[in-house]
Amino acid sequence: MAIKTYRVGKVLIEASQIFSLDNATLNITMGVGETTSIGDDWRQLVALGKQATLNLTCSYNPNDGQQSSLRTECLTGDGALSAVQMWEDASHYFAASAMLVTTCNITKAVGAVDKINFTLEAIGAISYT
Amino acid sequence: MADSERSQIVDGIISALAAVSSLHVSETLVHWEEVPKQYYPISAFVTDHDENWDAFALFGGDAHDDVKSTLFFTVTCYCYRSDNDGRELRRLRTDLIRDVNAALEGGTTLMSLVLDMRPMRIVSDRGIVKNYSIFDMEFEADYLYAHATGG
Repeated sequence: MAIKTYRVGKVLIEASQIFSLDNATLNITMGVGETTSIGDDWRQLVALGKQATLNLTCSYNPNDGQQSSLRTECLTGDGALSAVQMWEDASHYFAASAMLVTTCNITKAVGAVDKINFTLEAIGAISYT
Repeated sequence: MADSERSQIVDGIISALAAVSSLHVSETLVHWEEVPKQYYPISAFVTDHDENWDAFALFGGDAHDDVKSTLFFTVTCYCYRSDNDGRELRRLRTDLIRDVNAALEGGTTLMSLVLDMRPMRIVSDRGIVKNYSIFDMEFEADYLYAHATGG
């Protein structure tokens, strides 16, 4: 079946898989500039730069190597990652050669497992294989 | 092959209850009249029964915990007083409830096997059985396992 589910796919942070991942969302957006003139019926837009943002939510496991490396990068490092890949199945993936860890959120709540959430912003282009 | 995680958890429950002073613990549930009197004044029987499964993480790796299971188990408790003294039976009952909860919630070995353990409710005989106080203590325990290896 061509439709994919959570049963396939993974995220690699600098070539190693991040575990306990319960949500990975890749947003690819393009900035636009507006050139609409006063009196135009329809907006006029021109394409600006593209941007990719990867949002990851994991059940927090301080012993997971990739979770801890992202957390450490956010806290004490320069935030830069050399390679991030989001695999949609066993053979197709989006790849960024460089990303920045821009947010790290840790949540603790009654009746739920602890969660850690990261936002990664691509530096430059991402590719699809 | 190593014991399943479910089996290890039940072993952990029984070990934790075995530490309760004067408590006879067994997995062989019988009628309260069939329990030999030397196993009284308090006896407990552990039964693991229903289980719910949910996906816990993306299944991208085969060897990591990606399924969360909720195991339901019951500790069936019998208290006995030959004189049918209601006040003493109540003391046995309330002490046993406290001690079972403390043993299961405070057992470090058991808690290392599970993600969470929750006492859910007590279902009792409401005092209608002469000489006995009979009640079920129902619990839920969450644990994780890898889908590729099973629980």
